Amino acid sequence: MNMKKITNILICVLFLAAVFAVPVMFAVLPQKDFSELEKRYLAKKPEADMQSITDGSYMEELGEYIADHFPARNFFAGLNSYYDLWSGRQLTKDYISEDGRLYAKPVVADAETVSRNVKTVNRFADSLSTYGENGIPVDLMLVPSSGYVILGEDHGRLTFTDGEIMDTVYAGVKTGTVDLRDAFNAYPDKGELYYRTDHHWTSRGAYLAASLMARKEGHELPPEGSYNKESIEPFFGSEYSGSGLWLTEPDAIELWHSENKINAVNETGAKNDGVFYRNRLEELDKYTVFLDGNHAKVTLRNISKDPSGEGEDNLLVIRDSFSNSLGCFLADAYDKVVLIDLRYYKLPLTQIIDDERISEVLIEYSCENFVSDSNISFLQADEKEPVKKNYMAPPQELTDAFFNDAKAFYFGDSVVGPLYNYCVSHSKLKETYISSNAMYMYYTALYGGGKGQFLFKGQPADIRDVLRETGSEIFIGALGCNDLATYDVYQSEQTVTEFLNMLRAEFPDLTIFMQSVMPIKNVQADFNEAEVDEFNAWLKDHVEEYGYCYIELDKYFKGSMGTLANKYMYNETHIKNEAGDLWYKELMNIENYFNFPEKYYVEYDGETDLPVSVLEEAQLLQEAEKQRDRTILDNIYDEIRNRTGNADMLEIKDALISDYFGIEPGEYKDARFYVAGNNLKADEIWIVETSNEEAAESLLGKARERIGIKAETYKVYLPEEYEIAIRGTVLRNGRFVGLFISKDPKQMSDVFVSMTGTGQ
Amino acid sequence: MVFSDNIFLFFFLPLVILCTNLCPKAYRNYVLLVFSLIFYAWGEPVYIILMLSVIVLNYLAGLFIDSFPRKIAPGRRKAILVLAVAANLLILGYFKYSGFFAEIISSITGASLQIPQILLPIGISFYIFQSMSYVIDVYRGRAGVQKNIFFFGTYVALFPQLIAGPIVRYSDIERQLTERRETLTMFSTGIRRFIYGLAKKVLLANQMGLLADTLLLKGGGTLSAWAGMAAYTLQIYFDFSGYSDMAIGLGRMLGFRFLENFNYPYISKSITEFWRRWHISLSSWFKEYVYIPLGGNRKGLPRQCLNLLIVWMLTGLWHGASLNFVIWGLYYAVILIIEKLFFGKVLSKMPGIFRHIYALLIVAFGWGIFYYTDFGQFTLFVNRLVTYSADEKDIINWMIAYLPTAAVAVLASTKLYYRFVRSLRKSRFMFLEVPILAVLFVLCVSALVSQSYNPFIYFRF
Repeated sequence: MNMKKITNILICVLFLAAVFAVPVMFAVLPQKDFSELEKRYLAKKPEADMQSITDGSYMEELGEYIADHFPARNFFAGLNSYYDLWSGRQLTKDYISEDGRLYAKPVVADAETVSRNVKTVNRFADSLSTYGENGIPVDLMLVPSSGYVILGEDHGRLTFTDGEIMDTVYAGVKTGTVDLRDAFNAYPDKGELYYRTDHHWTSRGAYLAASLMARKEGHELPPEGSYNKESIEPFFGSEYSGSGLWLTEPDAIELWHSENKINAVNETGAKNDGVFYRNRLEELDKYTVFLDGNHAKVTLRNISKDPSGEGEDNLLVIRDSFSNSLGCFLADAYDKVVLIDLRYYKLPLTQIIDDERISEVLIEYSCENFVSDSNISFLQADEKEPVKKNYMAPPQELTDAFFNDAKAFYFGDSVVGPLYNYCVSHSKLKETYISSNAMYMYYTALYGGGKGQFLFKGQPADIRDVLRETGSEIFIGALGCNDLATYDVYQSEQTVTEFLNMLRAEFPDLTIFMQSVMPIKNVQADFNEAEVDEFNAWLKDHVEEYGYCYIELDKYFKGSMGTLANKYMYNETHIKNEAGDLWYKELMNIENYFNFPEKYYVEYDGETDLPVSVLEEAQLLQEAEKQRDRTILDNIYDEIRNRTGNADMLEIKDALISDYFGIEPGEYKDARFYVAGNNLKADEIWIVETSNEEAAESLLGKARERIGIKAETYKVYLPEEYEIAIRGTVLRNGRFVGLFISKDPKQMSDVFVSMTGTGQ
Repeated sequence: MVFSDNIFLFFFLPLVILCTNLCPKAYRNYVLLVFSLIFYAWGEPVYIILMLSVIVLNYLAGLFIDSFPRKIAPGRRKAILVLAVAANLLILGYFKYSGFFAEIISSITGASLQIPQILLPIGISFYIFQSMSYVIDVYRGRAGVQKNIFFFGTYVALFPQLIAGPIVRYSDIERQLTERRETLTMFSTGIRRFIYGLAKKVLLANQMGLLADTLLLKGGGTLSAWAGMAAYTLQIYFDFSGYSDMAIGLGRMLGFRFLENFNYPYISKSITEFWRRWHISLSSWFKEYVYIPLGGNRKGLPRQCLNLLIVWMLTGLWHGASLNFVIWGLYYAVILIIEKLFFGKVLSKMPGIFRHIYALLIVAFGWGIFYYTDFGQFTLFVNRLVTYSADEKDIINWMIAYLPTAAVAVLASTKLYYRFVRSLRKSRFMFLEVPILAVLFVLCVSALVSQSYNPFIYFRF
């Protein structure tokens, strides 16, 4: 055999081995559900049906599935990162690798967010300055990035702006400031202050910062020597998993054990002996060993210093994740430290300040988070001041506008979405206030101090107050399966009984309706349709025994299997939007039970062929109403819909725009706003034309904020949609502003950019 | 489906190789047809019906034309030809151009026409042109009629060239449909070609694309406008020629020999030469089926110029239903006419380096026209090119970061590597091409796989 033939055979054998090995390995190797490096769930294998194959979504999902489970995926991702690094392209990537350390690229400050956050901080400091007898001191600490501290402000082609940000912010705030720069810059080996593979500071960095803070307010941290240090390896931080540069040496994480006995309790009530959560050391990203990672509220009690729990030195820290390790040290200098994360905790802080007898406040953010995080706007002290609107999908504000004179209150969770959408788009049930965002509603209504996750006019509310405020004469309870699934049937029966007793006691004139729990399908192994049926049977008996009205709706949505019928099914626990009209019709039909006083009847058009597509009808209505001329914005929206097939959207118009988005008519020239016609989706589109670039810039800020609000809204509610929300895109092209929250915001913004042209 | 995709590389392709090689030769075309249809339907399940209709239409037209003897019934043959060509053009016009024409008509007449919104079927421009070449060649007697509809379907739908060319003329692979031989050499040549194509697309075109979009879309100064234009010039070449290479390589693996589609266009020293080297299958299609039938250069200079204008306007339009493509085509028509009239002679007396720079500038600016479908953005771009303004540091960082990649891309657009590999293949060290191919392939796969590696961004908090 000659060389040529050998080469040819070699090429064929290698190539065939490669292309055949991958599918074989894909089939044989075990598959993971969760990627620890990426901290996200991987795509699941899609199920094929006629619909998903003909519209191509099956193939798309299959592609994602295969990509997510590709053999040796992390190896390839790493190789690609190194290829980028070695071919010089690292400069434009999110991470910088130098001398075995990983840094985040320089922070880009958004001037508007900065000035807004400074204002919020000042308002908060103002209200605390007159709080109690002498006021409560507030300090602000901004943590510079590791790049700024270690590499310096100007490093080659990069400029780290942390110093500039601190100058601006510290000059603007009325609080005290804890400027870390001098101490950090004076430290001999700055590399010891930050991890090499993570953006956080090390225990040493945190100790240094904590002693500065304590000293400023007249406290003292124990000397460094008193801590018993324990080093744990290997630690792979967030820059490590983000960059894909796997050859970076792992870090060690140091736990500084204090002589003090400190207890930690978080918002779930879970207690921990000490500040370290050792089970977290099993994970790849071990930083969560400090205070168990992200939590809405963490309370640290220094038992050694304050055994009685009646101490006076109580510090409130409004913080980001840098305080996970900072808090561990601060606890040594105070009787009690309460840490609040505004991404999760949105209520005014007054209650905490009172309940915990707070004597000092520290606001700690990294420079990066301070200039970008819109959740800082939840920093509020005065309860009378309205809480920042926090919308839960579906558009609650639509309800406010449509149902001004609510005389009936329809209390439900996300399952109620289709009914709600139908009523909004058809102007039905005009005098009923439909709530569709209560979760674990009865339980929280009773035991959550009335402030569960139920929102009224954008704010957490107590159902009692709402009934009073709306002057409702009728209450309709529409329980979803959250209560049932979480607290089991028996507990839910207790809860509902107590809830109804409470209503009866406090509102003797209220007419009470209870609707059956909607059918479900294949939810979880330990919770199924049988339990829903069991509960509904109990509910019917109970409700009738007490002389309330029972609305038996579940049977209309059941299929032959006794579970949620396929034709009405949106997902395992939710009904399709299109079934809203059937729902409405059946409500009207249940005359024996549904005895609304006559004035509450809204005429039903007697349509018998159901279900009619709500959206189709809504669109017809919209078109009939449409008096405005088509503009370029309509063309853009049409094109977007065309490209992405995003059809299921409701337009928000006229007065509602101000209600819903807080945007006044003067702020734009022409605008189209669309939100998902279904409360299970985060989708939203803004296409706005303003009269000048300045106005556009200000609107852009609102759009950015909107993404934050939207993401937060979905965070606890629907995590998949949360992921979509945070990837939402806002952009400005000249006088045009766009916001796109969708599975494919890129394509939408491409259309937007190309169709708005130069933006003039 | 596209070639630079995990599903294609590791699921579709091995399955095709397995099935075609396991099945007896007589049935291979059927297997290929089935796979080609799946390939097409992957991204566009609905339009599979459209493609099947195009196949049936042209198959029948071929049969009918052939059924009337040339000498006895020339009129009928012609009538069927005209009908078939018209039907093909109608289909193309409806699916690709109706929105464009409706917009033009409504903007000229002021009438508010309903602008039809039709999703463009992938590859329609390619398979319609292929089908037309078949009918015309049968009419002209240059190709035999294909009586087996499945074989004809295999020709039209053949997945390597289905969605981005080259435009293979029926007469070129008529015999290969029934008499091709798959050999080891063919297969390994195919693999080489495919990997080089994949690398062009994934490692060069995609990277240059990122750079070009950053420099051209975000706005900026003069330097970034020029660099962006250069980046886009590189992107479009590597994207398109990479795809053609992959198509030709896959064809080889299956036993087909397609004609070359690109021949180092950026080494051209005139625009006339450029168009002999760029997208050869398209320019020769237009030459064969439009330019020559219009009279070509045989009816005097004025008529020749008119013919050129027509051909180039159509060439532009073929690239996309937007005015900028038409302008791009006419831009080339004008330059080609000027070169034909006198400038070509002037050029030939100039030093080579000057001619080379001239050709590249014209081509690169042409891609500028091609890039911006929006006229306003294009004028801004031209403004950036000619009036000086500085760039922001961030944008300059992009240029610095991509400089090494761009340098490799520039070298790769010359014959340098081709010469190297040719001499390597003749030497004792020919096996050294294997590690080169292996490295390129692994880098491509890692680039494709890492697209799905998306750390959850909120955890940076």
